[in-house]
Amino acid sequence: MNSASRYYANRYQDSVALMKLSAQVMAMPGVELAAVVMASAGNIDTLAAAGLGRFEVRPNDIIVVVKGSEAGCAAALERADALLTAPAESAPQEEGSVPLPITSLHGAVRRDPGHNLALVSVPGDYAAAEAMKALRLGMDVMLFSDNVPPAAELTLKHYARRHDLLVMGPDCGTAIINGIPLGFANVVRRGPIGAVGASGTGLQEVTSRIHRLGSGISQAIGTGGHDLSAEIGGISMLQGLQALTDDPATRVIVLVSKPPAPAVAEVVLAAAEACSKPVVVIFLGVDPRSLTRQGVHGASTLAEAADLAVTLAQGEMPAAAPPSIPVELLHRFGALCRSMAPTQRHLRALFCGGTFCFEAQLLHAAAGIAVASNVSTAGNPQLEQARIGPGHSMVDLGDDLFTRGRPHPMIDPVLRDSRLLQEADDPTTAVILFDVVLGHGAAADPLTGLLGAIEQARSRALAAGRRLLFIAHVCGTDQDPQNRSAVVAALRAAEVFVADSSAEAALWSVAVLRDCLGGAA
Amino acid sequence: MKSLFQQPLKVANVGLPAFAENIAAAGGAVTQLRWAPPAGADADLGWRLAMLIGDPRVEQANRTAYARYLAARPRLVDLQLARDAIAALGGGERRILHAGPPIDWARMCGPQQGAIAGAMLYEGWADSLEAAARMAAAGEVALEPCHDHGAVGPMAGVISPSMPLWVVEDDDHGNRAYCNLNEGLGKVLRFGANTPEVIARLRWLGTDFFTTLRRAVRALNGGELKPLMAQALQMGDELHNRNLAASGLLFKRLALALLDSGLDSGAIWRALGFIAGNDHFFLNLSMAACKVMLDAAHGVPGSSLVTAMARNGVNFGIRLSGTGTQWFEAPANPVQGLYFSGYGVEDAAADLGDSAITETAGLGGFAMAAAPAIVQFVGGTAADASANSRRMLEITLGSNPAFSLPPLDFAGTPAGIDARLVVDSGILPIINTGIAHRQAGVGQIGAGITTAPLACFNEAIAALCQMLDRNGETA
Amino acid sequence: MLPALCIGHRVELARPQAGCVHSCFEGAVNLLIEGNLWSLLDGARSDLPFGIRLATGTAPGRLELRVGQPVQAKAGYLGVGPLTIDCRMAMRWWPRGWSAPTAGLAARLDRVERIAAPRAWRDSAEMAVAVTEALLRRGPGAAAMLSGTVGRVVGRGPGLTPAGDDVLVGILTVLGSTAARPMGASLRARLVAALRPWLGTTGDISRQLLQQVMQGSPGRALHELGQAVVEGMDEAAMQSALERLLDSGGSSGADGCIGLIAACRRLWLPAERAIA
Repeated sequence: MNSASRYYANRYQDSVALMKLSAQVMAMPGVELAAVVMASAGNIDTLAAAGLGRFEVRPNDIIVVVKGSEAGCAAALERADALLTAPAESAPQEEGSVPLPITSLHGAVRRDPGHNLALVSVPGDYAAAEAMKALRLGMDVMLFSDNVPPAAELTLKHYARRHDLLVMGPDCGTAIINGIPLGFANVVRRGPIGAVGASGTGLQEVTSRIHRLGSGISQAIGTGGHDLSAEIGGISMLQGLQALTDDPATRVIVLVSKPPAPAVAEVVLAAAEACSKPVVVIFLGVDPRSLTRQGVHGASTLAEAADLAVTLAQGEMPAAAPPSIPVELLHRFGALCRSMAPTQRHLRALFCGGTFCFEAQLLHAAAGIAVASNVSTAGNPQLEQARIGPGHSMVDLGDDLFTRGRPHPMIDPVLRDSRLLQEADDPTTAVILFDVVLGHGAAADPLTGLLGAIEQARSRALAAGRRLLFIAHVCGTDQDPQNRSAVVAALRAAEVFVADSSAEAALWSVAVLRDCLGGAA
Repeated sequence: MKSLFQQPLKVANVGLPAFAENIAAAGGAVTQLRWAPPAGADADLGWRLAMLIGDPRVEQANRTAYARYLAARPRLVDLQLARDAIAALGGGERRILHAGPPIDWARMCGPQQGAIAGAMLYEGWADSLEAAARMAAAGEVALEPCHDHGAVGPMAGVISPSMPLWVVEDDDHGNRAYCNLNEGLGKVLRFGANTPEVIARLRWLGTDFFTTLRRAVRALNGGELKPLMAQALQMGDELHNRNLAASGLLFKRLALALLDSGLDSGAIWRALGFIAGNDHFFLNLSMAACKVMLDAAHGVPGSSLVTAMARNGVNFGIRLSGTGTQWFEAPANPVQGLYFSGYGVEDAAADLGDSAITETAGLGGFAMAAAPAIVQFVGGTAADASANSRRMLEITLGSNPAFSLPPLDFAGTPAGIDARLVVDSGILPIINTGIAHRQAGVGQIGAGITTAPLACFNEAIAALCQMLDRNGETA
Repeated sequence: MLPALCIGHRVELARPQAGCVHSCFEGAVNLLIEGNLWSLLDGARSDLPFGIRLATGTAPGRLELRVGQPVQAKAGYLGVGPLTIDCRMAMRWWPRGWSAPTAGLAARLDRVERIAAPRAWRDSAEMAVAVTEALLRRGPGAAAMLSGTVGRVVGRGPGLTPAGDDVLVGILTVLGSTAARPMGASLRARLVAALRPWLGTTGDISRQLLQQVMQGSPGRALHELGQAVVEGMDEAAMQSALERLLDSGGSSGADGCIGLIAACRRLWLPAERAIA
């Protein structure tokens, strides 16, 4: 096997563009492995781990590495060369009318001081600096990038707080500001409910459900996944809560997170209590009764949080309404289970949204059902690497394990679709639970590959004498580019049981396992 | 952030273009940045740079330094021999000044060594070029940057005690700057030529021409240079690589002064003839004027204003107002340009000379809009010339209204390079430059456009951060 | 990108702010920003506390700005409609304190009055005397009298800034000066209190300028003239300060001058300080 490489000095392209280039080179005949990446320390390590060899770290440069036949390598390097040296944009040809490209945040503010939010998604090593510059230039920040050191996050948030600016992130994938979806977010109508969330998909679920219930969102503020850690202390969440308190368009506030550090939770709850507006709090996994206090309403699921918020916004007091499953549905579950092969006993869940994986584990654990997961919680065992099963499993496909060097499954669900087929082929699989997340940023077509995989799974199972039960929930609204109603209809036409929320989907799964398949594996 | 909720959202997207596309698709206002990691992808330096943006100490220092640069009024006050103008050359020691940051003899490029050897013959410190080279190699002659002594010199930029220098004074700040006289084109000392012809011309310049011209200069009684330079900018000069109009305007003034002087008409004829035959005669005066303006702005602690850019044929060096006499150096970038027939890139010396002081002051490449002819060296159009000037506005503290550029609607030329902005934006200062032959004495073989290397600015920013950290908490 | 030459000391650029274009005139474009009126000024005009003076020869009125256009200030840049103004390197104008009056004040005031009076509104002198006299009264009914007098002056007379307002600005400039302390400070406090209820009876722009000087921020032209007159600077300096003041917009400068003169006389010339 041959190996060849080439550096391109002083070049930069973003990770998505480079992935596309890698894919193009890899697809060439005679090429076994290929990579086109920035020669940063991290990427060089990845190349070595992938068996492509160890190369010099040159963070300013792009490196192309190919492995394959001699002819294949040569052709691949040429192709990469052509792709990377596409003609550079020439200087503007018209007198002053074609604006020069903007290469820095300072340049953007110079061009138009009306820029008021910087959305930063550059590699983690550089992200904090960009965010700091944005703050110093007087802009609020949404910091999508991850792998920002906690010390830097703290410095950013302290500075922001001193200057009455907001840092949404790091690791913030979702926000809706002034009605504009930012990052991975859904199109929801404006309305009186404001949300602050440390979880992106959690915010997506809550905001899109609020829309579907007929209400709307004033602002949805992301805080990033580490804001509620002991080290950061919830700075952004507290600022978000204050901003919504001061916002005349907001009447009810929802706070969404996985469990915060206990001390931080207390500070946040105290602030929520002091707030003049009703606050709904969902800290997934924390008993809602411990959250509830004067003016603060605890919820146990994302759906319940949305429901509570809408009720409060309508000026009514929330009444407890425990979720139930219609009898006819239980009958259908039962009938399908009875037609399954005796080997089929297990649940295999595949999630693009990490929070859905988390919530589902909690709901199953509450029903006494243990589930292995690559991101395990609630006492669940850790799933080894990426292996299939055995037993019940819930896989978070958005975890680093699966997303290194590939797009997130919400953007490109191909990995989820092929994994679905793999799980279905396991003769012990009875139930497959999955999520479909819509909105700007998510795949334009979440259905084609998915429906194809489902159909193939069903026919292969049938050939082996097995029947499969698919449960899904669709996070989104009809105003999303993908149109939720259309997606739901297509799934139902494929005989997928589509629940109204992530919580409901999990509860259906619990019901099937407990009542129809005779309990935990 | 509550004000964020009361304003229309306008997003600056730094990173994945898909985010910007989605915002636009959702009806939002967004600008996509064409971003690359700043500071040469050094993440640590990038973070420290971020802390300098908007730092009140730096902003205040820059305001002070920039105001001094703007307020400067360079006046031509005298012509003096170097030994009388510059203390370090007046003490009788063997000392020669050269262009660019400090460098020892052994590392110097051909043209610079040739020029120094020639100067040593001119001074009578050696009687042959070989002897001169031996003496220089043995360290018997002190070799120091012109910049360290308030002076500048083009190309090899050699100044020795017996050479006549322009003396320019800043009427506002009171400092002085010096530059040698332009010998003309072809086989001249500044390209490393050191034949007996060259030395003879130097002697003439240092005696007959010097005496004559000094009378004219003194008769002009401190003529202000900025108005003349401003006029030349509106006549197609950029005052680094195109000096034709300025040289003509200077000739007019000197001619009248000389005719009034009562000097011997032969001497007058020789002097004026020499000046008239040299289209770049004004360059050296332009450089001295720029040097005096920037020296006035130098020495403000905490300021990120660039006060010198210079090359010694090996390295490119810069200085900041706020970091004292320290040079920040890196290998010079290649020159993109046209070569005179018979020559090519393999013949070229690396970028050489103190003449980048003109760009540092907002002229030369920064004023390219005024001299579109220059871009023909890189196959560009007049629009490209204007675009180059406009792009420099992204990395300067402001624009100098005294030097207005007609093609930019008479906007002032971009002036006051802020090292922070260079490192942050990746936009490098652009320099119009001549290309010398790598061998001493051959002369100019082409002209073109080059940029200052980013590494210099990275180092300078690192040093500025250190200096500010030492003096107190970052804001 | 337009560079700003000089900005007034009340212009806060350290934090981001937003507003809109309030009004457009040849020599000035006013911006309403968080309740304050900032002014883009022609380079030749005198500085104001909230003024942003552009390069000489840039007439703000010819920038094609329109009322209602959004304004954003951020990072030293001011976005006004489609334009950006670069304020990063602008100098900042601060009014310097006045030192105590020197001998010959009466003569200097007379000289200034001779030049300014013909250019002022016909009733300005009377208004100036009435206000300064009412200001010095004590005892029962004095407050009511002051209020009544002020009420008749605010908004009275011709001009975008009514003559009466200009007179008051002139008086306040003197009372607020360092040279006038301590008596000037207490008189100023009385006048400010009497003025407040009447502010709504005059136009936006004039009210804003009045409020600025009520807060202790005078405009440069009046301030420097007052300084020249009180400190007894050389004739040429005083003359040029006077010319600068009289050149600004119609009779505004002259009316301000009249107020300034009246206040100076009341404060420092004992013969004039007659109390009824």
